[in-house]
This record gives sequence, structure tokens and C-alpha cells, in this order.
Amino acid sequence: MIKFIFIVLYSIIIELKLRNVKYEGMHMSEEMKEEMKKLKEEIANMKSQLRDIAEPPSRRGRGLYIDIGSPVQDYVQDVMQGVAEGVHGELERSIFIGPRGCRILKTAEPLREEVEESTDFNKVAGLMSALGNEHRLRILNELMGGGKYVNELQEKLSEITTSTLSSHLNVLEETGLVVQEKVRGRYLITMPGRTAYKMAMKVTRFLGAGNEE
Amino acid sequence: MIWHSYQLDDSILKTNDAVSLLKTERGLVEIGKDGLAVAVKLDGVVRGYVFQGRCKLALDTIVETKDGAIGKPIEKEVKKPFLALGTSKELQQNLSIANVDDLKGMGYENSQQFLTEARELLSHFSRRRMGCCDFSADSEYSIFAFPNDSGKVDILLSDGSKLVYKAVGMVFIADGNKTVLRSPEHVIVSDVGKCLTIRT
Repeated sequence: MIKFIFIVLYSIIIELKLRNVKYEGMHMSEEMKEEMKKLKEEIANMKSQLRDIAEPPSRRGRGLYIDIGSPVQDYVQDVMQGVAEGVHGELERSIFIGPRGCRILKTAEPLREEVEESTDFNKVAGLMSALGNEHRLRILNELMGGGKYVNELQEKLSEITTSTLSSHLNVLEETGLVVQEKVRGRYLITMPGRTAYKMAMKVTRFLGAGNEE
Repeated sequence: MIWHSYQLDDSILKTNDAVSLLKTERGLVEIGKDGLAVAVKLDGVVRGYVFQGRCKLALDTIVETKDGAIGKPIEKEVKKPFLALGTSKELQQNLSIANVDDLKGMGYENSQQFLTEARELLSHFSRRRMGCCDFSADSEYSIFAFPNDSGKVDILLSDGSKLVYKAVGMVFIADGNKTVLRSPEHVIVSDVGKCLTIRT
């Protein structure tokens, strides 16, 4: 009898403990729910503030519009085009597309700091000097359309003599902006040559547009 | 496939005039006047020559891409004896028997000196490439083997507009507008308007 009473009492105690736990659990959960609700409200509020900063309520639904003037817009467009070309080139360099799908080969360029540290300004000056001539720029412009023989270039630059043209071509070849075929003899613009020419044109266009203002 | 081996002739010849051994859109191999030559035979038929003389090698190992040209042309004078298989009738008409003065003019005391060098080159070339191609006198195929400074041979193959050049650190393949350039830095595959660059 005593044993039975003990068992009943013990089971009652356990039951009460379990109920207490359940109650505490519910209580904790409610608190957490409340906290979560507050956090969500705060996040929603912050999002709303951010949206207002980036996109004024008056423009909402029409896209982001910032009036920064035409020359700058052109420049930004050029820069974005350059970036797009760069990304495209980088993808072309780093990704191999084969019959079994794509494969990323290697990460591409060194970090910006590393590039700046290893810059040979003398070399840069040499390159700028090679670009710093109207006739040489015109030669590069002609070669942008494809490889050309000396006589074809001479026709386009008829105001300069053959020896002057040859001298300009030598300068461009020495700096690696153009390369001459040894068998056919055509002159071709190199990859650095094309990039340098494009950059020179972009900067000039940008500066020109700025001066007009 | 029946494997054959090339053999050298005994008589030493010389070029009567400068001759183009290869002249395509992208490649040029010329041997100057008074250059020495020894015939290379396969089954008793002349398939080519080992030359020694003023030889000019020019190759446009350049890949044209829409982003600009990549690679540099090769232009050099070949000073060591080199092998040319699949040469033309024009060459055969421009060869005559060489004398001691011709040999001395190229720095050899006697014919055996030149033959020994020629045999070494042929054996070097044939080590892994036993004769299996049919180089008739009018064949458009030609193979050149130029000894390089690393003790190996640079190989140049030509078939009409097709050209393959394998040298130390580079391989260049051209077939019309399609080109492949493999250098220590990258592999560039280019077709008309399409280009794939793989960094190695």
C-alpha cells in the first residue's frame, strides 16, 4: 500500500514537472516570437529608409535617374563598355568551354597593389611617347581595321614620305604596339596596341568633351 | 604500316643558286648559293636533303584575333646542318657536285666531316620518326628539322597552306585562317572572328 501511494505521488510529481517545462517552453517561445517580430519590423524600417535614399519616392517605379551631364554620361558609358569588354576578355581568358562543359582554369590578374608596385614608369613614358604623334595614331587607326602592307598605309598617309612612315612603323614596332609579318610583310596591330589606342581615344574624347563645356 | 628508315647518299652536292625550299603564306625557308647538300634516300629514292649553308628561316607565327595580334614572327639564320624532306624538282635542277673548295668554304676539311654531321642529324630526327610518309619529288608535303641550342630539333611541317611548327616552348599550327599558338604562357585558338585564349 505504501509502495502504491509512493508510486502515485511520484508520478504526480513527474507530471507536474513536465507541465512546468511545457509551460516554460511556451513562455520562452512567446518571448522569442516577440523579439523576432521586433527585429523584422526594424529590418523592414531600415530597408524602407535605404530605398528612399537610393530611389526618391517620386521616382519610384521609373528607375534610377541621376542627372550628371552629357560628357560625364558619355565617359561613364565608355568606362562601362570598357569594364564589360574587360569582363568578357577575362572570361575568355579564364574559362575553357569544351564539349563536356565549362571549366574555370585560373584566377586572372594580380591584385591592384601588386600591379602598381611593379609598374615601370619609364616603360609607360616610352609607350606614351610612341602614342604621342599624330601620324603614328593614324597608322594605328588604319591598322584597327586589319593588317596592312606598307604601300596601303602610304596611300592613306600620303602627306608623309616612305622613310618617315617607315620610321614611325619602327617606333610602333619597338614599343610592341604593332608587329610586322616576316613572310607577307603586313603590319598588324597587337593586343596592347589596340588597347592603348582605344584608351587614348577614350581619354581624348573625355577631355575634349570637358573642354567644350 | 611498313616502317622504313632514311639513308644518306655518299656524294656531296652544292646549290648553284639561292633556292626557296619552302614558300607559303606564312613560312619561308631559303638556302643561299654554294650551300652544301647531301641526298636523303628512302628505298633508293631521293626524298630530301641535309643542307648546310646560308639558310634563312622566316615564319609568321602570329595569331590574329579581334583584340589584336598575338605572338611574334620568327626570322633567323640557320647555321647548323638541317634536314629538308619533300623538296621540289626545282631544287634538284639547282644542285651540282661539290668540290673540296666548296666544302672548305663551309668550314669542312673533307666530305666525311659533313657526312658525319648529316648522319647525326638524320639519326636524331629518325629516332622517333621512322619514315612513313611518301615524299615524292612533286609532293606538297615537306618536313624540316632544324637543330636548336638545346640539343633537340625544331620541326616544321608544311602542306600547302597548312603549317605546323614545333620548337622549344612553342607550337604553332596554321590552316588558312585557323590558327593555334601554344606558348609557355597561353594557348590561343583562333578561327575567323572567334578566339579562345587559355592561360597555362
